Amino acid sequence: MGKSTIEELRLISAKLQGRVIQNINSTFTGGGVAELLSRIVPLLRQLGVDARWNIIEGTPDFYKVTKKFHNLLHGRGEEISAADYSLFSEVTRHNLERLEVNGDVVFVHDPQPAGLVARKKDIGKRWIWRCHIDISHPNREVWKFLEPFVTQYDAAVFSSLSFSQELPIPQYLISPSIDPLSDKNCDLPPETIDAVLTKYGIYKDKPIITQVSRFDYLKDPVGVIQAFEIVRSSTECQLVFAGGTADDDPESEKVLAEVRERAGGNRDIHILLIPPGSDIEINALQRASTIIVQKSLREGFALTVSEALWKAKPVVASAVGGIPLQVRNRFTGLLSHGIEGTAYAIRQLLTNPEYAKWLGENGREHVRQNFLITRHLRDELLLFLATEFTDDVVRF
Amino acid sequence: MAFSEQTLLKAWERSGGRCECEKRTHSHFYTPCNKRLGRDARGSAGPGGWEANHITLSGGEGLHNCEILCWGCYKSTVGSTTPGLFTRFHAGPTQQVRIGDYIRLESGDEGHVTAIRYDCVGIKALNGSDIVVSNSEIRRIVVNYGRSSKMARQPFHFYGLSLLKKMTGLKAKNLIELVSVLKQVPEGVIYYHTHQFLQEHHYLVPEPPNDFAVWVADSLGDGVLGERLASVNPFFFHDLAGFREKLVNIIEEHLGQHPNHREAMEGHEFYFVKSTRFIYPTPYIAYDLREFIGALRQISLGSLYYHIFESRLGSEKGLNDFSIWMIESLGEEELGRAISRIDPYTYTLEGLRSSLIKLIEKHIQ
Repeated sequence: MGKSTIEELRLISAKLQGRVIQNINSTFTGGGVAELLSRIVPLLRQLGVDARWNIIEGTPDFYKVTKKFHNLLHGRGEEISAADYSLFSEVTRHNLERLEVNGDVVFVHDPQPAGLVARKKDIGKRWIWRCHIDISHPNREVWKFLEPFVTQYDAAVFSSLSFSQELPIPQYLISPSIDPLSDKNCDLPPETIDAVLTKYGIYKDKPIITQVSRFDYLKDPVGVIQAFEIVRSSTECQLVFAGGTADDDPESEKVLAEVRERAGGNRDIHILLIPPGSDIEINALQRASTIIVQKSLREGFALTVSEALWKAKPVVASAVGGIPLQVRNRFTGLLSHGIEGTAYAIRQLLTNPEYAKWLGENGREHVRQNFLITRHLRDELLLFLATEFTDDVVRF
Repeated sequence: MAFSEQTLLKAWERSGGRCECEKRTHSHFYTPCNKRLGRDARGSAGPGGWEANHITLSGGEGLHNCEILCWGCYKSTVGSTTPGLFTRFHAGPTQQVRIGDYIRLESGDEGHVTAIRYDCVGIKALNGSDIVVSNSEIRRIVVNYGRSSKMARQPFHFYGLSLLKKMTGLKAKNLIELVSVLKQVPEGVIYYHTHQFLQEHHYLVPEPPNDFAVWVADSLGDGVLGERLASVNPFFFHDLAGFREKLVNIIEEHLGQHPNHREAMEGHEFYFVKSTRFIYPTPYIAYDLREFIGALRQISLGSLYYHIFESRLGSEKGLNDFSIWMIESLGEEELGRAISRIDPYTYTLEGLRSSLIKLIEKHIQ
C-alpha cells in the first residue's frame, strides 16, 4: 500500500475528531471478531480516532445459546427452546444495567450483544449492528427473534451481498480483510518454508495443489481428492489438504476419518491435521503451493482465498459465498462449479504456468486494493461518518 | 518576484515592527522570534535589519504570502548571507537549480526550491511540508521543470473521493427482472455497476466490463448479450440517464429477438448496490502546470478518478475538471482539449495518470 492510502485514511479520520466510537462484542480473545477488533481498534486510535472496545458479560449457558443462534443463522440444524430465548433476554437485561454506553457511535458486533440497542431510546446516539455471520439462509425463527433488535439500529453491516435482509434500515457492505503483517500472511524466508515441507513429508519436485480448510463436509474434502485424482491421472502433482478440527464441531473428527480413508495409501496425498495457532505453518504451505483450491459447497466469506491470492498464487475456487468477490473469473483466478470443472481448471493452470502466474499476480493486486486491512479501516471510518448523513453524496 | 510598496506597508503594519518568524527550526524554537526591527533597516545585516519573504514561492505577491523577517531568520529561511550569491546552484555537470524551480528527486521528494546553501537545498513540497536535501541528493534530480511561465487565475484544488457500498435490497434472477429493476433504481445504482469496477479493478489489463455484462455472460450464460452490454462505451455519455437508457434498450431489444428464460442459480442473482460517495479536500493545490504534475503524481487514485470520471458525468460541457481548469483558469486551451479527448475508460487508472503526466510534460517542454 502506498503513501496515498495512508493519506486518505488520515484525511477521512480527521472528520471523526471528537467522536467516540464504542465497539461492543462478547469477548476480547478467541474468534474472528475479537481478532479483527484487536487489529482495527489500535489502528483507529493511531489515526487519532477515539475508538474503544467493551465486552458484555455472559454465562457459559448464555454462550451455548448464542452458539445455537450462530449455527441456526448459518443455516445449520439445531434445537432451540423457549428457555434459550429467555436466557438470552435475561443476560441482555443484565448487561443493559452494567455496561456503560459512552460512544457517539455504538458499533455492536454479532447477535450476542444485539439487545443493547434498547438503550437507544434513552440515550440516543448512533447505533450500528455489524453482522459477521453468513445469514443468507437464516433459521426464520431465530431471525424473527433478532429482527426487532436489528431494526432499532441506524444501520446494519454485512460481509457479502447475499447476506443482506429485507430491513427498513440502511444496509452497508463491508467485506472482511486480511492483515498482511500477521503470521498467516507475512513474507517468510525460504528456509522456513522448506522446514515446514520437510516436517510434513511434502516433496518439492512435484507441483503442490493445496486446500486449507477445516475438516467439514461443506468444504468438500472428498470432492477435492476426486478432482485431484482426475488431474493426477495425466499430470504429476501432489495434494495437500491442511486443516484443523473444531472443538465445537463433533462432526469434524468423522470427516477427517473419512478423508483419510478416501486418500488411502496414496503417497501423493497429504492429509495434514494442523493444530490451532499454527499460522506460520499454514502460511508456509500456501507459499509452497503451485495452485490453491477452495472447493467449498457453502462458504461465508472464505478469507483463505484472499490469503492465497495475497501470496500471488493461482486459485481455483467454487463460486459460492464471498468467493466470487475475491475471484473474478479468468481475471484473478478460476471459478468452478463441480469436481470435473475443478479438475479441468487445475489442469489448465498446471499446463499453462505463464497464465497461472498472470492470474496470481492479478489476484495479489486485487487483494491489495480490496481485501487488506487498510481498505477495511477506510470502510469503517466512512461507515461512522455515513450515519451522520442521509444523502448519497457527502461533500466536506 | 517582488512585493508592491502597498503590500510591504501593510505587512510591516501587521508585524508591529517585529519579526514574524515562527519556524521551529530556528534558534527561537517554539516561540515566535518577535525581534524588534528598524523601519528603515530593510536589507541590512546590521541591528534591526529585516527583509520581506515570500512564504511560498507559488503563493503570489499578496499580503497573505508576505512575512516580515529579521535578518537572521531571513538568512536561515532563504539560506544565503548575501542575497543573490547562491541564487544559482550547480548541482552537477549538467544540472543546476535556482530558487523557484520545481524539481523532483530520485528519492521521490519534489517541490519548489526555496533555499540554496553551500551544503543543502530547501524544498517546499506541495502538501506544505519543508524538505531539506543534501548536496549529494540534489545531484539526483530526475526532472527540473524550472520556474513557472504561467500562473492560473484560480488554483486547482485536488479533492479525494472514497466510496462506501450500500445495499439496496433489490436483486434479479433473470433478464426480465434485471431490466425491470434497472428502469426504476436511482442513478447511483447505475453509477455503481458501470463505474465502481473501474476503481476496484483499475490495475487489470484487460479491464473487466461493467457488472451487468459480466453477470449476463457468467450467471445467465448469455455471451451474446454480455458482449453487447460490455461494448457500450460510457465515454460517449455525459450523464447516467442516457447510459441507463442505452442499457435498457439493448436488453429489451435482445429479449424481443431472443426470449431468454434462463435464471441464475440461487446465490448468483444480481444484487443491486449503490454507493455513498465522500468527497473531501486534500492538501494538494496547484497554481501552475509544474505543481499540477507534482500533485498528479501524489494524489490517490480515488482523487484522480473523481476529477476525471465523476466530474465529467456531471458536466454540461462533457469536460473533466482538469480540462476545465486548464482552459478557464490557466488559458491552456489546447492542452485542456487534448486531455478531454483522452478516453479514460480504456486505461488503467495508473496508466491514465502516466499518460496525463506525459502529455503535460510534453506541453511544458
